[in-house]
Amino acid sequence: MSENGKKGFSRRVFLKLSGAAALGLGLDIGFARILLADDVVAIPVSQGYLLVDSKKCAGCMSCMLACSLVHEGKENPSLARIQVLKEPFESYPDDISIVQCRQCVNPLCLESCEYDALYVDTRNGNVRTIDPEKCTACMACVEACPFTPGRAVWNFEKERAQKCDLCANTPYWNEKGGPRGKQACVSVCPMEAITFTTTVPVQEGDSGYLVNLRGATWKELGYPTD
Amino acid sequence: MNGYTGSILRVNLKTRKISTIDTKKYEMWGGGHGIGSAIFFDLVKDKAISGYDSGNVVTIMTSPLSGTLAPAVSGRTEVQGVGLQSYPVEWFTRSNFGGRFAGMLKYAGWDGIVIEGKSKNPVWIDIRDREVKLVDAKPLWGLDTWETQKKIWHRVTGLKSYKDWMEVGKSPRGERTTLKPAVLTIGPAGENLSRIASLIHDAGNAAGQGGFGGVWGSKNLKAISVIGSGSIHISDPNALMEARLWAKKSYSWQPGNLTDKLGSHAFSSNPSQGSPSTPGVKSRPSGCMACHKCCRRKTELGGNESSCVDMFFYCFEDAKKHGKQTTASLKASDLIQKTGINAFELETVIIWLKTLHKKGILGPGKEIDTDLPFDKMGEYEFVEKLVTQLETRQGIGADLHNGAARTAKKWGRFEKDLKSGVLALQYWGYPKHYDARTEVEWGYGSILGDRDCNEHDFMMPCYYSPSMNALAGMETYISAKEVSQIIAEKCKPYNDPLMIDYSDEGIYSEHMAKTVAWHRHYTRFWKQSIGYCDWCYADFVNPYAPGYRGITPEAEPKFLNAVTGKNLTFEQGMELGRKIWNLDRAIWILQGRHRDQEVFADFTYEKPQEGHATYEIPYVMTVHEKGKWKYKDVGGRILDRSKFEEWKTKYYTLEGWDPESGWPVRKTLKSMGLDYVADELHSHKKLGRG
Amino acid sequence: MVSLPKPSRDVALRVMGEVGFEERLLGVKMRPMVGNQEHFVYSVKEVIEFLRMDSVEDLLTTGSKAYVGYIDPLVLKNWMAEVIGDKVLAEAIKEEMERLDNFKDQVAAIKMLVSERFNQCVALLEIS
Repeated sequence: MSENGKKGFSRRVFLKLSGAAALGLGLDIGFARILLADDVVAIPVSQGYLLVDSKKCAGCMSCMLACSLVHEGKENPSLARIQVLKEPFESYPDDISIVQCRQCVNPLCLESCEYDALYVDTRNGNVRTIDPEKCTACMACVEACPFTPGRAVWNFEKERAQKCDLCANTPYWNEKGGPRGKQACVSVCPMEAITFTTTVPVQEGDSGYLVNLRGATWKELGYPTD
Repeated sequence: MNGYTGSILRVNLKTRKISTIDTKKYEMWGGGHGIGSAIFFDLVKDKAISGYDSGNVVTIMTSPLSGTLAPAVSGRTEVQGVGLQSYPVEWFTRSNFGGRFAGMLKYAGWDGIVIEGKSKNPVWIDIRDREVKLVDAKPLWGLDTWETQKKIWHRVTGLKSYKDWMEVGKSPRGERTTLKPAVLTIGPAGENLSRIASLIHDAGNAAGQGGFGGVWGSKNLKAISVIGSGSIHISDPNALMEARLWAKKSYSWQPGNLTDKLGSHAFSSNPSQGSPSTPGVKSRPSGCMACHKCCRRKTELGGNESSCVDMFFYCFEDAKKHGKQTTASLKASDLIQKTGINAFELETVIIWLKTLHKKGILGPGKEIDTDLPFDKMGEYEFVEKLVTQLETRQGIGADLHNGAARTAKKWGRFEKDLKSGVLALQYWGYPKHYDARTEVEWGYGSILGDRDCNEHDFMMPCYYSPSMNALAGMETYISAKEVSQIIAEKCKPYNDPLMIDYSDEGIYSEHMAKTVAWHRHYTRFWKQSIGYCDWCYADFVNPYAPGYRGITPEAEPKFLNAVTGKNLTFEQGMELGRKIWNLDRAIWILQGRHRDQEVFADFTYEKPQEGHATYEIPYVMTVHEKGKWKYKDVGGRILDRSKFEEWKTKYYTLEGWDPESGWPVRKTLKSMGLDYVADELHSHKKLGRG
Repeated sequence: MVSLPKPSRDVALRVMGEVGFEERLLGVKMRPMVGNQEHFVYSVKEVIEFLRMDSVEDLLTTGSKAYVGYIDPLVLKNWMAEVIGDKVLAEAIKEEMERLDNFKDQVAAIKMLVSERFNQCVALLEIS
């Protein structure tokens, strides 16, 4: 996208910025976009991330129900911005996966949006989020997410896209959200299989986001901690 | 409508007509069992039919809380209809199961499903949001429940792997989900009309008691699949979220601080409570939709999602054979889920067969001839052979597929084995679960109903906790007096501390009549109609809560009203429970019920022989004697026949029923808006006098 | 805990054997929620396998892996005396019942006693 000079990143500049982010240095840019010399933009890293331990998950889907409840005011797992994939006949540990939005340092979903609907919300810790007023329902972001299932969620009821915003905007929950507040999924998970961090996770592979949250209590209960 | 979808699916398997019932017509019954019984009453004219009769109507019902974030209630689905398991009469009965079926049915836009008639050929029902089809089940007939579900998933989604969003239906709006279809199915046992066959959902959610597997088999109904993408409207989302967090903070198990209070097993118990671990086998907890404690387990080797007896039924024999529990138990657990057989009955059958074998009555060439390999008891081989014969009606399965009671009758052993307690079928041919002689509210509630009531509300604080502590030589962390105070506070509308007096006098008292009435009404509404799970509710005594006061009765209306926007009080729910209980009572009366039938197996009343009998163990319970509360071992007690009959009179009177017959009187039914029920009873000359 | 004198050969044979249905012992497996399930016990060896009360911690925290395998100690004592004919063992069981005031402690001590006796009989009869 950047080759023709349109909105996007210069790959060289991006790598420099994201490399810094990956080292946990963070970037405190102050506003969402800066215009650099060769007409590229840089995106500040998110100040919050969800990390999950799928081996700890009990498959109850409380996270999904909490997510749709606080964002939409309704219960619908199809509208949840975090998903739990379940295989009832598979054995542990292949039977359950929690799949969360990674608030990528390099968000391809944002890059794909031609309408500035998907943006970095600097008022809320730089979460990557979607402005529903601007979304044209082109579904480019839904397709662009490199992960399966795509983390940008198609809201077929409102016919627009939506995504995890770390609960920055939860009209149906009186609790303050966003990176400086609470996340519904973290709050409800009965097994504490989802946690929140401000440290930028390693972007390569899964190890930054799929972590081991099983400690002494888990062991005491008789479950494995490896 | 908040909480409800507004539509109940009605499927006639004979005419293949698919239609809708407006939920508003039945909304006053709450949901679940209440709506299911009310629909059954309206649709089934001759209620005295057999469970195998094509006129039987099966209702599969959710509640307004199904598929929501409310804890330990979202996952349950209730099933009603004339059953097959109870003996000697096939009572109108109920069962339920957990998992994700209830939520998925709501997301598809349905509050429940009504099944009428019998299909000419095997069918399954394919529900995709509001689109419903009857599909030829010939390719599925004969498959086990897991294979059936996998094939249906593939048929509905076209996928073999499920890691992505799937389109639901063909609407241009692009409805989608990552969840597989939720399927409820029978296995070969149900297809072969076993009276002890169950309905299975996913790997280990079972509607076990009642015999609904055989009912479906008699209708040629193999499975129901549902995939949904819709939303459940919530009246006050913030209130629901806050209520959920309130319950988690103040009443739930605490990952950082596991309690040391022995016997605390309701709302607050730890994960995987229902599923023992196997040494050396890795696992995780597993739970129904939105559950905060997740009582099951998923392992690296099997025994997937099964809980309680579905896991335990073979553990003891396995451990005895091998010195410790092995994978034989896990494989046995998966086997019965795949076959679709009631684990509770099977456990009793195995012990009974062992006993008869030991007595030299049963075995190759014996009076009861069987080739079951008793030398392999504890190995997977034994249970595999037994279950195979059961599901195919071969060998000893030719009799046993009818359940233990009818088999005992056929073998000419019913009277003697029940009398001695060798076969402890205490109420309506169901295996004794908790003993009618000691923890009486269980037995009384069962014999006044249709089955083993299987409702643990009083069991934990009044029996299990004190008994475990006594065995360990420990003081219970809460005194009997304090438990009675908690009960008095929480058991509205009676608020009577003597409801938990299990002394020799107390068990025949009017206080115990209130206990049973409270229990029947609470369970009929709050648990079986709204769906609050028996493994969490009622929560009377909670080790994490201030003053050990549990989450009942605050939680039940709190979650319900947050979702529905109504202001139903706990007491109003109890009154609805009373209404539903009376409706069920009317159905049983139309099936032929009279107080004279409501008696336990003989061993309940006869002096047990020391060491030999069905008696057993210390049964330490809350008693009130000589003006003082204490915990006392009431083990070894028997029921006095005439005192129990007098107690029944007290109970019927409390309920507003004719004590001569046990039938409701018109005035009672009218007070609850059940005039039409009174009319029907009257037309059959079965209305109580008074 | 008492230490048992060696039994006679006759007693050893009965300790190692199995009794008939009419002489069975009643054991009850106690588990939460599931209820209490009767199991018949036909030998001293089965008594050892059956008697059990898991730790309080296990009963609390590890779900229902833990359970109680209950045999009434008094009934067990009488059975040892009258059915198995090992009056010495029966007396030793009685002593433990008097020394310890709760089932959990009793079952541990009785199980050790009965195991000791069983092993004595194995050695006496030279059964491996």
